[in-house]
Formats: sequence, structure tokens, C-alpha cells
Amino acid sequence: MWSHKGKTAIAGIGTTPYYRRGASDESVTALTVRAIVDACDDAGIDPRDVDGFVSYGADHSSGTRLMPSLGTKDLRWSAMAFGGGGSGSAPAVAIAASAILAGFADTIVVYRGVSQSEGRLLELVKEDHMSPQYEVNGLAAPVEFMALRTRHMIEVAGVPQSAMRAFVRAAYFHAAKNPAASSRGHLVSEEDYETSRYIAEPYHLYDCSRENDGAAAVIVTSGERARDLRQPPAYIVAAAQSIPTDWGERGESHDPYWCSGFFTVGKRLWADAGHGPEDMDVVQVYENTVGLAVATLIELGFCSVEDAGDFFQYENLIAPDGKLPVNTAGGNIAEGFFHGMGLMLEGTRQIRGQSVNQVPDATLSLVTGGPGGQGSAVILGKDPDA
Amino acid sequence: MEVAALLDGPFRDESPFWEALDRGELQMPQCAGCGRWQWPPTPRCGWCGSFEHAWVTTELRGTLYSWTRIWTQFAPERAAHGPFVVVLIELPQAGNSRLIGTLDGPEDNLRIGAAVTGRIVPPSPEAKGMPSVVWSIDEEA
Repeated sequence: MWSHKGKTAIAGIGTTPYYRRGASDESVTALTVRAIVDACDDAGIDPRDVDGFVSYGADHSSGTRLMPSLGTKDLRWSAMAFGGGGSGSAPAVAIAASAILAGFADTIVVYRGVSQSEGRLLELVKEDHMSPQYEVNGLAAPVEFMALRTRHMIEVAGVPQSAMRAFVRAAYFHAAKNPAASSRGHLVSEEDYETSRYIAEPYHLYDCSRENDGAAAVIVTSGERARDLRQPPAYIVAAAQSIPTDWGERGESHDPYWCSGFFTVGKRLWADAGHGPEDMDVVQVYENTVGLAVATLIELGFCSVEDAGDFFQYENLIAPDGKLPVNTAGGNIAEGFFHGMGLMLEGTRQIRGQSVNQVPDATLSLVTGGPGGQGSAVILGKDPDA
Repeated sequence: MEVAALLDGPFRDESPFWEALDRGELQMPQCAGCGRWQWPPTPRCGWCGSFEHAWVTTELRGTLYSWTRIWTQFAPERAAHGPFVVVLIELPQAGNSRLIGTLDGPEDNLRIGAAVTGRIVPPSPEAKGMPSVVWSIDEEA
């Protein structure tokens, strides 16, 4: 068991609206500042008291860039988690928690700002992760090489595409009821999914994350301090990262090929938490493409490859009564895409009882980071001793 | 992007691969210490610790490991061509290293496990000004 279980917490969450790509007039710095101030208001703290800054995924809003807008009294911690797009989202929360546990800072904001007019994510991902052989052969975006991996998952590993369809429909069901979601009011039927255009086979349009402008932020502080703030704390029960030999940046030569890079995360995560997948009340899983999200849940042990067709049934995946409600605000594909930070906000809302698709009595809430880098996840709990 | 431009970029360790293609050869990197194949190339072999590797001329024959048909064009250079198939090829002669390529010719028997033969094509705008390998599916014996 992790000796620091429950000693840190998410105490505040903040976000801008999910603007359509290119639809915000504001700079990414302005959007990020708005999300951070919103998170401070939520927590009931003065933005000047934030003393640490953590982001990920080639974010350009350093602490020093943000501090003049926030009136920061003393910047004590400023860090970035490695990981192309969203594979740093959960690790960024872990970096914040570790700095608090070490006493380097007291109130750390973890954030991600996106303005497509200041560089699309796919350009940033390319710089870090896509060697020339991708673009030379027409693989110009992550969805396209993830399609190669998911083809393998379907045809060789044997996970049916119906798993992806059920996941998509559940996420859209949740987003339909979420007034903040890009796809609010919009349900996806099996027929809608099957007849939607392909982006890169086997990926339909609905399997892919959106592109938005905006920002989201969470405030991480000690569990003790969080108890004195405005909102019920979402305690950090575990925060694991792991990727073994034969992975890392290996072009497409890694094994098992179809995986998201999460197959060794579970062992560490569940041991640290003292819980298993069966104890999770609700899950937010990172899906830049839905095939990789299905792989992530299989790798974390929620079901086996053989059982995936039965496990990934629409009814099982929706709140409030499904066995494992997933992406209850709609996630990256249906709510909107701030590179996974939206998932962290929703995982926190579930612990507070504030989701529009609340899972009754949720006490343990899993949030994963993105695929393709080091696999990562955070477990949030209602109780520090959970 | 041109072969020369790679020499200054973060992927400069790949330059010999592209220079070989430019000469009309497929060469894959093999660790000089332990013989392990390492594509993409790494400065040091994580298994045996050697900093040396050799670029070994490899036959353009392989097995289709995965494929996707791309419908939405993120690459403007390919927009005029309509949907096209990207393939991932395992090279048995290079320790099953996997190379990305595009499909050339008929799509009959387009399936994982199919035997394929490659052909090096000269630099073109759709290949970002680089030489590349296109693969066709072997006729079933």
C-alpha cells in the first residue's frame, strides 16, 4: 500500500467553456488563467496563494508566464510531465502531489490550455513522437497510426468492434445530458455509429476526440488543508505510472502491439491503492481514439480480451446503474478535448456527488492518462483511508 | 523535409536509413554487440550496452502486420488521391522490425499475415520529398 495514500487531494476544479476549434478570441494564456481562477474560486482560495504550477504535453504556459496574471506571491514549484498529448495528464497530478508531500509547495495548480490557433496538438505530438517514416507514408495524425494498432486489437487479439461502439454510445449518452458538453443533446445510435464516415479504418468519426479551444485546471493540496476548504476533498488514493522494456519510442515495433501501454500500470496502481478494478465505482478513461481506451481498460484488468465483448455493453457503461459507468461527462470524444484534463475534473465531481451523471454513492473514481507514452492513472477517493 | 534536413533534426540517428533508400537500398540497423535488431535506431543498445550498430542491407520482402485505409486527409500533399492504404510491414530478415509503408497495387488479399514485396520509389511531394517504400501483396501460391 502507498504510504502517502489520502494525504493529498484535489480541492478545486475549474474550466472555460469548450469552444469549438479556433472559436475563442483569447490567447491560450488568457484561457489558462481563466480556468485557474475558476478552480481557485471553486476551492475558496485566493489565486495569489497558488505557489506551484504543473502542466504537460508541450504546454507553453509556464508558471512564470502565468504569475503576473494571478498575482502569485511566491512561485515555489514549476514542472512539466513528459508525454506527447495527454499521456502526461495523470502524471502531472502525481508531480503536484509529490511536491506537496515533499514540502516544496502547498497549493499547486495542474492545468492544460489549448488554442488550436496557436498550434494544433497533432503538430506538437509530431515534434515529439512521430519520426519521419510516419509522415512520409501519409500518417499525419495520431488517429491514423492508432488505427493500425486497433486493427490489430480487433483482428488478431479478437476484441470486437462492438466494444468501441458501446463505449462511444455511452460517452455520447452522458454528454447528451451535460450542458457544458460539445455534443449536448446528441445521442448516437448503433446505426449512427455504423454509418458514420471513416477517418482511418477501423476508426469512425465517432471514435475520435474533438478539437477544442479552452483550458481546465485542478488545485492539488494536502488532504489536511483540503478539509478546511470550500469543497469536499477528492483524496488521491494512488497515482501510478509504468511502462516496461520493449516499449517507449519504438516506432511501431513495440509489443504487445495493440496495447495502450497500460499493461504494467495495474499491478502498481492496485497494489498502491489496496483495491482492484472491481472496487472502482466510476471510470474516466482517456480516449483520443476509442480503441485505445478499450485497450486501456482491458490492460488495467477490468475485463479480459475474451470477455471484452460482454463487458463493453452499452447498458454496463452508463450511469447511474451500469456496472462500470465510463466517461460520465462525455469525455474527450463527446464533452470536449482539453487533452484529458476534462476527465480529471469529472473524476473529481463524481467523488463530490456533483456530476450531471452522478453514480450513486461513488467513493472510488479512476482517471487514466493518455495512451502511447508511459501508462498512468490516478484513483480519487471520498475517504482519505479509502 | 529532405534527407539532408534529417541530419540536424531530433531523428538524426535515422539518417543512414534514408540515405540508403536514396541509393535504392533498404538497410536496417542491427546491434553490433548482441545482434538485436533495433528499428528505429537507438544510440545505445538497451540490452547489451553497445554503442555500435551496423546498417544491414535487407530484402524488400515481409509480412503485413497491420493496415488502415485513410479517408480524412490530414496531409495536404495526398488530398488529391482519395483514400489510400497505409501498411505496417514486419521484416523477417531484420528480426521482425516493423516498417511503415503504403500499399501499391490491388487490394485483393489485403489481410494481416499476407506476404508482401516492396519497391523503393524516388522522392515525391506526397512523401514529403523523401524516398519511400511501397508494398504490394504477393499473389497466393
